Amino acid sequence: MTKVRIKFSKHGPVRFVGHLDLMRYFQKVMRRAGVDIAYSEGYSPHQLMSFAQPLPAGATSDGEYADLTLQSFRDIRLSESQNANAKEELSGEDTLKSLCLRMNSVMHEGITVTDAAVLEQGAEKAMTSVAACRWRLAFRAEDPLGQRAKDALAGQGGAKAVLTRFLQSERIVVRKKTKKAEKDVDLKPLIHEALADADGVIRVLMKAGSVDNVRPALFAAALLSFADAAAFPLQETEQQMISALQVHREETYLAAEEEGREVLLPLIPATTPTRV
Amino acid sequence: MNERLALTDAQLLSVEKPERYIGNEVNAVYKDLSLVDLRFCMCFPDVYDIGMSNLAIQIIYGMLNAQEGVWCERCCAPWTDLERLLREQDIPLFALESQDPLKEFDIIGFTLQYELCYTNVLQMLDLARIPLLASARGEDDPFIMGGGPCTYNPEPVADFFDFFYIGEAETRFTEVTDTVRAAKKEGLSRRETLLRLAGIPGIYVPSLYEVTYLSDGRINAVTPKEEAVPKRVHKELVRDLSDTYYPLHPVVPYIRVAQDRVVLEILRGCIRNCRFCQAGQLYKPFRERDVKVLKEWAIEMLEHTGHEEITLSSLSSSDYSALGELVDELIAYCQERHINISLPSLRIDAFSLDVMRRIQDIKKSSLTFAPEAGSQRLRNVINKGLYEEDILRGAREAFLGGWNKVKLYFMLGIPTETEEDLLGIGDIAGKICVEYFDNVPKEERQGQAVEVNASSSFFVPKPFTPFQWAAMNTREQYLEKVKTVKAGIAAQVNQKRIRYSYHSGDVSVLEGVFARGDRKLSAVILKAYENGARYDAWTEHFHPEYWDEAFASCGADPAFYAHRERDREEVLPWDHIDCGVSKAYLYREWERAKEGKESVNCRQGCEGCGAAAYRTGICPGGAA
Ligand code: SF4
Repeated sequence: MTKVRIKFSKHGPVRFVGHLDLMRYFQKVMRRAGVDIAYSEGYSPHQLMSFAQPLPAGATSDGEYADLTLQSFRDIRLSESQNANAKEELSGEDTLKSLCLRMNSVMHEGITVTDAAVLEQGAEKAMTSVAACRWRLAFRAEDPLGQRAKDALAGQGGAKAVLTRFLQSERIVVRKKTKKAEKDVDLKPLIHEALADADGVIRVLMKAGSVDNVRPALFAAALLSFADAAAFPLQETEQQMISALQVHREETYLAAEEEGREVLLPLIPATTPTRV
Repeated sequence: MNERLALTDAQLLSVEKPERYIGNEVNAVYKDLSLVDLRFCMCFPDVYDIGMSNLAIQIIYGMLNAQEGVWCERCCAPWTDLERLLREQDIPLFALESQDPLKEFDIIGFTLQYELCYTNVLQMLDLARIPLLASARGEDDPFIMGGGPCTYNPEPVADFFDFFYIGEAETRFTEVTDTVRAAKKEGLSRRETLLRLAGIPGIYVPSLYEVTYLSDGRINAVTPKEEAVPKRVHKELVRDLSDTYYPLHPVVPYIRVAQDRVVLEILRGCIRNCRFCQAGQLYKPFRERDVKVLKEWAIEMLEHTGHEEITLSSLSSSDYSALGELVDELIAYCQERHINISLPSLRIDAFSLDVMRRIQDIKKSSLTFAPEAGSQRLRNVINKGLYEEDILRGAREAFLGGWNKVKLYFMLGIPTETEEDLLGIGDIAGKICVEYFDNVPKEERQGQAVEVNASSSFFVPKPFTPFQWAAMNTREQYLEKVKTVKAGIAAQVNQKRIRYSYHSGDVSVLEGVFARGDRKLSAVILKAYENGARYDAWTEHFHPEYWDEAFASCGADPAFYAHRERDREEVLPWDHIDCGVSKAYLYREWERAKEGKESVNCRQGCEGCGAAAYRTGICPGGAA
């Protein structure tokens, strides 16, 4: 059995396909592409496949990841001899490349596998290794809240200026609701970097994953609330953010150590040995 | 792929399951509009989750798109949240693929699968900004076409449709689209086009028929208004099911729809001649698909959808002659690929139990019997062909094979029903429990005793069945009967092992009214729609008060349609439609029913229903 991590993008109308449906979509892709994926044991076997981190509804992405456990690289739609022939022509990285091609040939145009790598034995799962994400965020003019947000930022010298002041604050305290309780969280140390362009598009690298996750909607609401707390009460604004904020994930990162310091690397680092 | 969406991101994100409205599913078909000269929109008057589970839609979609120059798109009824949004923001209803307004299409086809969807047809036309009444449509409006089981009595919705297609789509659909394409090129008027369509076998253009009534409201006659228009419209039917279009690359929705699996239709029609069943008559004669063809199709469909389940679809799978062979082949293919096989509508016997054991885990499933009636007398009335000893033997074999859950389906309100028949429901449930305790030794019961789940629905008489003349029970009668059944179950020694549930029957009377309704009901449906009725099949959206008001203001009496017994001479609203079975045969069966006499099934012999005229299938002189 081999563990393979794939990277994929999600664009176009399929951005509205929710996380659970996307998982079902990939299960069907495996069968359409004849991928020899492994199944769990037991009562109702399921494909061994896990996804890094759900995207917010309606978001696009160039940095999605999933881990697949494969029985083999063979194409189960083909006979043994056909597979043997195919194998002779392929080796190492080519097997990965052919896996990606097979998946892409049966995928919807909006979803594309862009990279794949063989995971080492004992490598941490995609789901648990997520440490940060880079997002591209823009307020939608067609949404009332989005338009108000754009106006408010423009009225205070533009997104760039507001963002600069926002990041200079000592603390960025927000009230975060978890299932059990509400607590105050300081977003400041969770935001690695953020910048805005002249059109008000914000690119932000923030903590993600199971511990210190910052959702784009919370970040955007906190920014607006910072700009005008009366006009944008935090919790309400965050709740309405789904239709007001256009979200794109550029990359998902894991934390690694390099020369004694913590660095963020894409979930398939550029230096991975067995990689497409 | 079509990047353009009719709704903004903000709008899509404000409704439940936006995936219902974005198209772009796997196997959806996109065409270059400049190469298209006929645009067809296949509509389903219920939510996407139900619509995309419908086989007819997939057949027509695939079949039309296989033609050059024709683009068939889809549209399902917008859920209530989107309807609100479309109205508030003044957005016309759009098709899934191009996302263009429905009004821009040449033909809009609705499949009418159940009577309670009628107000949703109006909802969709209204949101599409197409006049609801056919008579109000102009030269620029699309043709509104109807098909599906309800169109065997299309009269209640006759005012809303330009034409109906009676029968199976595979035979004449291309002729319909070709005719409209040619008419467009020749610049024919709407009426000229409809006259031409009326000449195609199976096409019924209601506006070309005049209906006259007797003073008591019954029909006097239905007559064509023009020479060239046929007096009766005959059902279209596929002669060779193995050599016809089948959607091998069906659209695969993103969301989990009702039928989230490959649907392999193994046969059409039914040999059983059950007297309550409309489908059994409508799809006669019984025709089977070749097992080799089915096997190839199954693999093709599984590989092109990636579904993890395949279901064999038919009215009665056990009657498929090569079932054993087909199941063996499918198991060989599916098991190593972790694909489930599901086999509904099996008659329970040693063979089917063996099949079920091989395709699924025993623990998962419960056994289903559909005795429909509680006593042998009443089962003879409906010609069910199922006897108590069969049920008990089936249950015994199942219990010995490790099953311990049994589901029983009944109908209440069957003509001639007595208290004894109703009490019989408790009896048979009780006897099944006894079979369990008598045959399964204590040590093998593993702490789980037998569980019998009985449920009943409200019998609705349907056109083209021997019960088309019968009076339907009132809601009050039905609820009385429920009480009797409950008492019968409570009297059983093993009553703790029996659970009983019943459909509330609120909408059943409405279903009964439409099923045997006439043209006068179009006004009622329109009024109810204007009152706010839609999604009537959804309990949470059903408002009887909209309907009560509509009947009252139109001066129509639901009892006239539902609770009245008809006599032999009455002209029935659907008499000018020919589904292949003769009225004489149906009446013969109605009389036999009242005498409690059984008829044979089509495999045992031929009752001379009239369907042999199609010269195919199981009938004398047919191919099989
Ligand atoms: S003609 Fe005879 S065999 Fe054919 S469907 Fe009718 S009853 Fe059955």
